[in-house]
Amino acid sequence: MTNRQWFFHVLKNSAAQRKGRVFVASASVAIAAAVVTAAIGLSLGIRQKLGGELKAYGANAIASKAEGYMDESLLSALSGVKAIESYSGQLYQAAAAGGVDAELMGIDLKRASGWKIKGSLPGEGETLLGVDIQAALRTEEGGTVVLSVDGREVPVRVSGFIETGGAEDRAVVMSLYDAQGLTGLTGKLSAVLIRAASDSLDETVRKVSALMPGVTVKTLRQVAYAEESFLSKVELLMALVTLVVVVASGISVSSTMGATVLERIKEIGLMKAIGGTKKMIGRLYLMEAALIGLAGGAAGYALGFASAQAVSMGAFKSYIAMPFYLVFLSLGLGLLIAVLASGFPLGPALRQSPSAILRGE
Amino acid sequence: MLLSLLKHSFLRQKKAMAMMVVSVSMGTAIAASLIALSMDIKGKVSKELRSFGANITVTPKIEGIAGIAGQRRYLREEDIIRIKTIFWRHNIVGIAPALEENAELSYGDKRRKITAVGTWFKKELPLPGETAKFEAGVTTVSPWWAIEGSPPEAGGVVLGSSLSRELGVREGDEVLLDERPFKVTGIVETGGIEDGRAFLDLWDMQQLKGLPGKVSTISVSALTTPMDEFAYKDPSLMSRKEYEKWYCTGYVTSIAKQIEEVVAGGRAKPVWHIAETEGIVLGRMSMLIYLLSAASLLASALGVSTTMVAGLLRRLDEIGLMKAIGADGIQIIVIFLSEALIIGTAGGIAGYVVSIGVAKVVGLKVFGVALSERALLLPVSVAMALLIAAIGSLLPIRRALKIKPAVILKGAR
Repeated sequence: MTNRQWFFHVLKNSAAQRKGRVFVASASVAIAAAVVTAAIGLSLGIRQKLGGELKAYGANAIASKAEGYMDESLLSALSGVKAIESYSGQLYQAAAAGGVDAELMGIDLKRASGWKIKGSLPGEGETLLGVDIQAALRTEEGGTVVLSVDGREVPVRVSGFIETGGAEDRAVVMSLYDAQGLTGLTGKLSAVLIRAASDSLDETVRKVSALMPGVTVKTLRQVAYAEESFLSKVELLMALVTLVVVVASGISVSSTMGATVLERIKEIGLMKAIGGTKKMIGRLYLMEAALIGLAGGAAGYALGFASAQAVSMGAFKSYIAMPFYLVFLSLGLGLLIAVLASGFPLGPALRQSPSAILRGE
Repeated sequence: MLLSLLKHSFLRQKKAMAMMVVSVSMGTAIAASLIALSMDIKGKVSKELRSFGANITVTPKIEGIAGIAGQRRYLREEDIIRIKTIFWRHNIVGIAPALEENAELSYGDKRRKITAVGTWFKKELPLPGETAKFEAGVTTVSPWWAIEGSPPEAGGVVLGSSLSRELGVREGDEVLLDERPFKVTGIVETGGIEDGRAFLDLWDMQQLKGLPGKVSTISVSALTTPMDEFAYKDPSLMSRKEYEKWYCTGYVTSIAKQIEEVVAGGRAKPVWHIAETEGIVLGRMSMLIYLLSAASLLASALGVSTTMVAGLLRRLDEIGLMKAIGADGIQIIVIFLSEALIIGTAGGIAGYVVSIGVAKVVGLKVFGVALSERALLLPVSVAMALLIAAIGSLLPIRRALKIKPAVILKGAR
């Protein structure tokens, strides 16, 4: 039998004979790899997941003209900007409802989700009435309110009431199209509310400014500042948790693998006694460790991937995108830890004389 | 006899035993750190989310048509501090009043009709009946304000960025508001309606418009409990018990109600989209950390178990020998469980110590404030470690009991 044949023969038999121990060692690596994969996967995806929730805070940038109105056609320029997640045009004008000062607001009604509306969203030719105005006029749902706008008096059916705690409470809110019709400002907008990725917001604002000449584009600091500050804190938190997990798992696995090697010191003594060189024995053990590391890393990745998805589902009700390179990271990490952890105690063990080992020192 | 056995067992295999303790403590440290985090996360995140702005606004109650077109109603400045006396006063983290009136701004030969706002930028209010002071002002409610220059003192004004650009006014210039001179101490940009307004100290505004002691709105930033199904019930339809439960829970609606009770003629409303989004984000973050804690606990348990199994499997010779010289099953179980006890206790304590350090660092780095130390975690950590060490010993013990001494001592496995 050649040296090479012997090598693989022993390797195979060693694993076969110690099935239990090999399994335990692999399991240990797998669990560590799973925890690390899940932690890193969640860290990388947390911004996207939480950012999705923070969208509910609303627009983080606004485009408007210092004086006068914007043309609706300018909106087409925005669809090309990748960082913009959504945008909607709005029209405002001072008006009166039933003799009471009210702001006329024309909005994209699809964006009205999340607003407190009693009744239903306005259909064609209908409007929502702000709760403060409702309190003053005592209007009922389905009733009519007379709007004074653009020098005319127009009766409009009230489909419901809106309460936001903000300007809408003192406004009549209707679809953008209807508002444009009522004010005679067809195709015009007062402002465009923009929602863009928060980490590149300043750049997006510059881009949009360039695309819309004559229009001022500004960050809505209220949302942008708080959002970015919050998201970066959460990212930092996840990164630190991942670091702790990586270090602790690494130490834990190393201890396990180290203990495993120590127990086999007698085998090493025996192999040296029958003529094995340090090199051959070292290679044998490291190869075994490498295989355990790779097997553990592979299983660990699968387990970690599944765990991360389970956590994401539980917390965000959706799956999380995990970059493909995590497979290699897991395999590499498993390999590295297993080999290093086995290698450390191996060195001194190989240097001991076989008789000392076999005697039981 | 047992103690002597244990002592020798540990002394002979110092390295192996130490490694097992390290492994157990690392697993415990992860789990304990995450548990500490999950206990504190809600409060920390809640505080962070306050930087999105006021979640309650107080405005004068409007009765009938009067009060909107023409007549103005006001709230009393003296009622502001009473907001810090309500049942949920410790949840009130920011208050900012505003007196909004039309005014004429002139600079050189340019004149503009604008909305001028009197407010506090940073004001220390003495708390009634206490020596402590409460810091109120725009910065406590709207931390995103960026003022180039400095906030206005008496006789000063801060102009919105759009307004100042339009008129060509810069910091240090003097402008006239309703014919009275004010020094521009700074320019503010928020991207919102503030950019077109002028801001003065509240007292100056009250003097300017002859409205001493009056404010038109009060914005409040409060730490709230997220709304749930129960909270959305109409309080006027609740039974007495339900009402008490609602009132004593820090929902944004109950805090608003309590504020209404102390501000004469005021109507306090939640700023819904801020209050609701906050609730959603809080829920997500808590769930995330709980799940991570559960997952890491499981992983730690499995990880430590494998370590114990690995450590004990190699001592099958010893067991064979012990059985050969007459030890029975119970004695062997006792020996191994005792070892597990020692490893578990040592590992649990070490893991707890590590987790304190981790919790401190994570808390300081992320939230600027250390997570609270929970002494409860020590017994919990030790209990976890013991449980895991014991479970980890089960498999080897089972195998140990099945061993035939002769077979093992011959060298077969």
